[in-house]
Formats: sequence, C-alpha cells, structure tokens
Amino acid sequence: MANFAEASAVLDEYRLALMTEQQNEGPQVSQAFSAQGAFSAFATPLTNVHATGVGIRIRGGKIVSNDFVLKVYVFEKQDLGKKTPALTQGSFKGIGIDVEHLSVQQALVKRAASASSTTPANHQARTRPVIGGLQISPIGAPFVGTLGCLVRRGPASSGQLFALSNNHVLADTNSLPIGTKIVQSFGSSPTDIFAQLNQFEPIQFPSGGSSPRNRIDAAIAAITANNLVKTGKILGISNYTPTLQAAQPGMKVTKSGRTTAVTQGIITAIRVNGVTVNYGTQSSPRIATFDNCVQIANPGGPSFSLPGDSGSAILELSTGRPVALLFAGNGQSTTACALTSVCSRFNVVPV
Amino acid sequence: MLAPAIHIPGLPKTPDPPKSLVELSESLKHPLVIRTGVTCDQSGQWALYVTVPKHVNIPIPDLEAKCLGFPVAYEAEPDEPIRAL
Repeated sequence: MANFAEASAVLDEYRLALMTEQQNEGPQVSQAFSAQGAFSAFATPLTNVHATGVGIRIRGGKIVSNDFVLKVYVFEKQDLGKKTPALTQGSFKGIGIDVEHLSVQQALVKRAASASSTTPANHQARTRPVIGGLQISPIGAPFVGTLGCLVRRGPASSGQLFALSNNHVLADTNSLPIGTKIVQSFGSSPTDIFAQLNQFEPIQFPSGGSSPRNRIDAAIAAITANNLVKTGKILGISNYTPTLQAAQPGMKVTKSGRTTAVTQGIITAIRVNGVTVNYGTQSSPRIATFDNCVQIANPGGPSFSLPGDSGSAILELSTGRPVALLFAGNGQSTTACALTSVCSRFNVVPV
Repeated sequence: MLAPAIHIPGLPKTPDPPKSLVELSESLKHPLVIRTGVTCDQSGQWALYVTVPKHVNIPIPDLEAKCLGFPVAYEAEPDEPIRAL
C-alpha cells in the first residue's frame, strides 16, 4: 500500500522509463504486436499507452481506499499474455501499476494537436521536401540526429542554403571529412542524399595537460539542390518564425526532434559555464567542457530531449523564434548552445 | 536545506543581465561550485546560478558574500552525467 506522496514521488521516474522503453521498442516487438491484429492507433504495446498519472487503485471495479498506484491509460485494453511489457504490470519501485482503458476525448485531441500534432515516427520517416525537425545522418553512419533548421548565407535570392545541426551529428565529432554526404532519414542510399558537410566548429578535448573550453557543438551541410528542401518549416511547429531571439531565464520553449518529437520546457539558466559533456561511453568517457550554454528543463513532465534529438532548434514557444541549438542532456535537463553564437560562427541566418 | 534538483526562474524584469553579474559568473571560484551561470529568481530579479553537490547545505555563506548582493539560485548536481545526445 502506498500513499499519494509515495506514488507521486516515482511518477517522473516512471514516465522517463516508459518514454525510454517506447523509443527502444524494436521492429520485432512492433511486428509481433501487429501480427496479433492489434495494429491500430498505436504501433507497439507501449505506444498503446497515451497517459500516466497517480490515482487510487481499482480492483474488480471497486475502489481500494488509501492504496495509491501509478495509473497507465491505454487506447485499447487487451491481454497480451507473455508479451505484456514489464513496465505495464506489477509494480514500479514498489508502487503498484493499474492499467486502464481511457478513450481520448475530442477536446483533448484538439488541445494535443495544437501542442504537438506529430509522433516520433513522423520525425523519423523519409520526408520530401526536407524541413527542420527531421531525422538525418551522415551517409552510412550507425547513428542519427536531428536537422534543427535551414540556414542561409548571403542574399535571400541567391544565397547558399545549409542544414544546421551539431558537429557530433553531421561530422561525427570532428571525424568526418568536409564533403561527407548527409541523408534524410538514414542509411546508405544515394537517393536520400540532400546535403554535404560544409563546415563544423571543432570540439576541443583535453590533451597534454590543456583544458580547452568550447562554446558550440555545431556544423552546417550545404544543400545539394534547393528543390529538396523547404524553408520556413519545422515539423510540428506551426508558428516557426526564422528570426533569432536571445535566450532568457524563465522563457517557455519548444523543440522538434527525431526521438521525442515536439516537446516543451523552460529555460532555467543562460551563460552557463563549465558544463562537462561526455562524447564517449560510460565505460570509455570522452569529456569536453562548454561555456555560454543554455539549460532547459521540463519539471513534472516528460523529458525535453533524449538521444537522437541532438541538433534540434529550440524555439521560444510563444513566437516560434529560434534561441538555441540542442546538443546534450541527462534526462533531467537539456543543454544547448546559443543560436546567436552558432549563426555568427558560420555567418548564416535561419530561414 | 539541500539544493533543489531544478531551479525554476521567473521572467526577467529587465531584458539584459547586469554586466557585473555576467562578469561574476565568469570569474567566480568556489570549492563547492561546479557550474556557474545567469538566471532569475522567481520574482524576475537577475541572479547568479550555481550547481553544487547534492549533499551540500544551502545557502553557502562565504559564496553569497562574494556575490555583490545578487541573489543566488542553487541547483543540485544531478546523478546522471551530461552526455551528447
């Protein structure tokens, strides 16, 4: 038996675990689920979940007083037998889990549509013309990131268009040569090429006793043919306005990325110095230090970003104006570089 | 009192942070401070942002004595390291 405070205390952690598992559900799970004839509004057992919360346990249709549990609301309730995900049965951190069917009300559908009308699958699909918020990758690379937005150098009528993302996305952290082909969405097909790596700001790592500092993790790729892209568009952001805006504490922001789609958060601090970011693995870390960062959090809600969202443009929620470029995080907070610094470095403007 | 996991600022009352606050955040050295930055308190007054180890009691008097009268917004260093996404 848990009280309300105890159940509420694990809710954020549960939501993060659920979102991570949703992203990790592989094609085998999806195929296994669809093979049961259950492929409908959702693609996998965990994307069947559309809401979570804390409530009183209901057992056999009766309320169990004073027993608070994690509520998991699904589009369709069905017995998946052994394929039932561990996260939707039993308990989580000692707090019971109740799965309930809850149809999505029409008003909520409308509200959700205005906040985010896209799913991660939309951001990961091959899409033409290419716009901001889509999954991109160097050709043949075993990783993906996000195209933040398009930028232009030179006059509106004749300037060169570029795709803007991170160094660690477009150049695999200083590794790939200038000219490397960039694909949308992923893979090795020449028909998916839409840009070529043009410039990146090298990320400096400690070496020989030096402790270099970085300010941006950014790169641009030249668009190979202008008819492959569409300016002025970021997937799922209806009010995108390609005019730079300075980041401010307390500013509500949004972003469009390949893993978590459109999410919202709040800027908690700017000009943050001494941010250490791991570009390696947990067992083999490769640490770079950044200054002048922007920090974003989404207290009480799902994570603002997850792996694969790197390169997303972060926009002021109310105006759709870009303020920062997402590149790192830890599930609790997201770290970005100031977009004014990025655009100044490459002499470009958002379009 | 321990530092919160996340500091939620208010919107600033003036568009730009005071130059002296920016300089302070760039030059501050303190053994308990992991990162520094600029933020606002919940009323929108510009403040120094610092992260400190999660077991440290706040406020830290000798840190605040260096802060030129600016409020200090503390955040506890998260357990999870920051990684490139």
